[in-house]
Amino acid sequence: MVFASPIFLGYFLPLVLAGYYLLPAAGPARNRWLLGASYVFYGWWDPRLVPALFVLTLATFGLARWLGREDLPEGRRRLGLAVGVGLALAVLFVGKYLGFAFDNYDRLAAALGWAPAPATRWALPLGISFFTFHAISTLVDVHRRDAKPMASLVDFACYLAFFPQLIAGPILRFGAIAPAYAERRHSWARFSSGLALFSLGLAKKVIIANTLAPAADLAFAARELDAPTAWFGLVAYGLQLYYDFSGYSDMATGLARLFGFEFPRNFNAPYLAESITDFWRRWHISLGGFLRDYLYIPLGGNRRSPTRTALNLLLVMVLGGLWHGAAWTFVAWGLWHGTLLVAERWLGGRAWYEDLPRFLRVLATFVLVLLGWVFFRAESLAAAGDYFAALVRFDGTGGAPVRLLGAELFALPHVLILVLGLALMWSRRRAHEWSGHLSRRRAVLCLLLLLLSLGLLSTQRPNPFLYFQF
Amino acid sequence: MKARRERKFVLLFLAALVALPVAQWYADLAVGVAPTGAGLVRRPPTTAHLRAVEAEFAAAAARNPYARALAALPGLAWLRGQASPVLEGRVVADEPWLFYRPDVRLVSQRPAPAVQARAVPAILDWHRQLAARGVRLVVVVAPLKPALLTDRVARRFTVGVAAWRAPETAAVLGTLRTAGVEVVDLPAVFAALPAPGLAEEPWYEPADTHWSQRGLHVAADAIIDAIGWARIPGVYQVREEMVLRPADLERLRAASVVDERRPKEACLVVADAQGRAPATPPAGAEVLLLGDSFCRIFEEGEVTGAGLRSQLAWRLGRPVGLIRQDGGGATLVRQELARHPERLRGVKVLVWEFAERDLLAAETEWAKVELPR
Repeated sequence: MVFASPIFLGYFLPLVLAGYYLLPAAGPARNRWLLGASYVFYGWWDPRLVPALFVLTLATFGLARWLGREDLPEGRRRLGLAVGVGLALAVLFVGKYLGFAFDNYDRLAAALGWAPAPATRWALPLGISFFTFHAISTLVDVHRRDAKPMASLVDFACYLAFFPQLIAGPILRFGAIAPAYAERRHSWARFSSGLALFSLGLAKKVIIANTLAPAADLAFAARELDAPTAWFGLVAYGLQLYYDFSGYSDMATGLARLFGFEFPRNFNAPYLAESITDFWRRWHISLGGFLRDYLYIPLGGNRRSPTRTALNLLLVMVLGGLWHGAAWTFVAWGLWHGTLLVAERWLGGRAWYEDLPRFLRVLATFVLVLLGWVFFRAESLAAAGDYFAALVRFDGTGGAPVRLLGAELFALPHVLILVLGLALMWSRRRAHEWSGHLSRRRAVLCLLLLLLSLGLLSTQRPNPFLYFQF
Repeated sequence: MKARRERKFVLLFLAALVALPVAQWYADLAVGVAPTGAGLVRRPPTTAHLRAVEAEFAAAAARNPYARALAALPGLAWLRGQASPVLEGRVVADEPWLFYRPDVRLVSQRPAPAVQARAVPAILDWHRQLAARGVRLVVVVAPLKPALLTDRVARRFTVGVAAWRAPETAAVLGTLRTAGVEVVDLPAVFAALPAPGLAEEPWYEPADTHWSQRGLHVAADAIIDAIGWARIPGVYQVREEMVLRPADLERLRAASVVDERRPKEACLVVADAQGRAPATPPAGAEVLLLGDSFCRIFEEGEVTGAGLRSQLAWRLGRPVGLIRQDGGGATLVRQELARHPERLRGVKVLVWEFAERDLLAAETEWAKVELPR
């Protein structure tokens, strides 16, 4: 079930809201209801995965309770943390990376004449990258004494499975969100701001991302590209990815507000960044923060030698890339960003184009990020290489495939929505704050966007969020 | 005041959402079907059943009056109006030229390699079986319209650009030739010809996925060259007729009637000495034609006796048998022949026509078909 679907919007959400607000605010009833709804939401994709999620929940809950004991010696606490984090990473590895490991082993085995790996492969369990990170966050925060373990299994299970963030984040820090499961405020103001944010996210997804999706798909599956088609396709993909994921994050945050929670902001106009360092402060903020606090800083961060700092950065970005998907293209994407971050650090935390006017700094960063998206979107490193070559193919020798691609790519709706996407990207309005102050005009706009989105949704093919695959 | 506005906003927002199922159930009641989603409580929640429920919701949405009214909102109607011919519909249009979108994408998008890997063994096996019966096989590939007429897909393109050849088609046909199969590579034949100008009759009909009379004659001549038989004169005669026939892409674009504004086509109609279209002999013809809808055009419907079978018969001066199945050139026609092996009696040459689409589209079935011994 995806947020931008009639089943969710028309049936699931109203039912869950009705049940939630009919139950007493005091006591565990509302959290129990949310947990049940979250398991239904997750099980809708494949009911067999719900027990697996529950087992991880049970194990993490037990370990966190144990780690939280005051009388536990430090050695045992460390061991407990290692076991818990190891378990979460093992779940992540088996669910997400085992097939990738087998494929790479098979290639090596074929060259060396070894026996192939078992042929077993399975579909990526939805949301595995997110709920395993939530489990790790719990264990680390409790181990660091940044947070106390939850006393109620229902509350903890609800934190791990809470449907607004279960499938594609944002990645919540246990220490920051845990208190809200015990006590949270509900008000018309919070509820209405949640709906407003939800409508903005829905419109981003349905009107912009879904309209640009065919353009990006056409370009990245093209038989032949020249520079205009390749750049158009790449910008379309860059915008699709941003509006899709930030739209999802807005919807998730909006939904959380409906139930009294407040999620941290996940995007802050990332395409207005003036350097790659700045970009990573604005793009998928919850992931960047997680990697910084739970990986980069424990590795030594920037407290060691410049070489060690550079290696730490590269390692974190490569692992961050790999987190997005089990493929060498994601490793290359991580390396691309890691290298750019290292270069900026060596220049004293500045981009090499720091002296340019702001507009050009933003443009240069946007282009560098777009070039990274080639790795992110391409099916293989070879395909990425072909795409890079096409980006500088200005010779006009494109044949029939390019002409026919152009006929579909440069269609009026693509061009209009691309221009709209770029224009909104440059505007200084931020959905997170904008939705918090609901004037009459804003309320009307949100209702209009909701109706437009519902109308467009009824004519679109099912189009899941891009980050579901991660 | 602010609190009142917030409450009103919340209620209107939720009403807009709840209207979706309410309108759906109203529409379900109106047509006398079970409420959408009822399957959810009637069947166990397995993955398969949940996907079926999703499909049920998607199908039911088409009769939801609320969703339909929202889809008709002015801005959306305009956006969809712009998008439908270009993005969503199955027809790419730059009037009067219409193209079948999947065909356009076979040119512009990377093809599925597996289909060629399936096609070659199936064709070689068919060739081996026919050779064992003393029958010559001539494979004919009917080109994709957008590959031949890339310059007509959008008005801004220069007219007169040479036809494009899919490298995968060339590779498959090269492999077949190396293995001894006779091939009429029509994409290459057309590519070698000068492209028709705007004032000339094109090789393919503007509103159809199939060839025009001009294209058909190019194809028939190339096949006759491959067969290499001299014509027996006096068996058939030809006359010209002006015909307006329905075009498949026009029909696909939801116009169910023949567009009278289209110019009529001059057809070369073949007739025997009694003035009748060449008969299709049930058996005994020396040449048997197997093919898809390219063999139907000008042969059935508004005009008869002017299609590929008749043109071959006229050029050979001999009757030509025909087994035809729309969209089934790759496998279905061979299965049909396998069910009626008597059709091979007396056949010396089997001309097997299939669309180039069948060599490029992933979904084409290329089964090996056993002829009865």
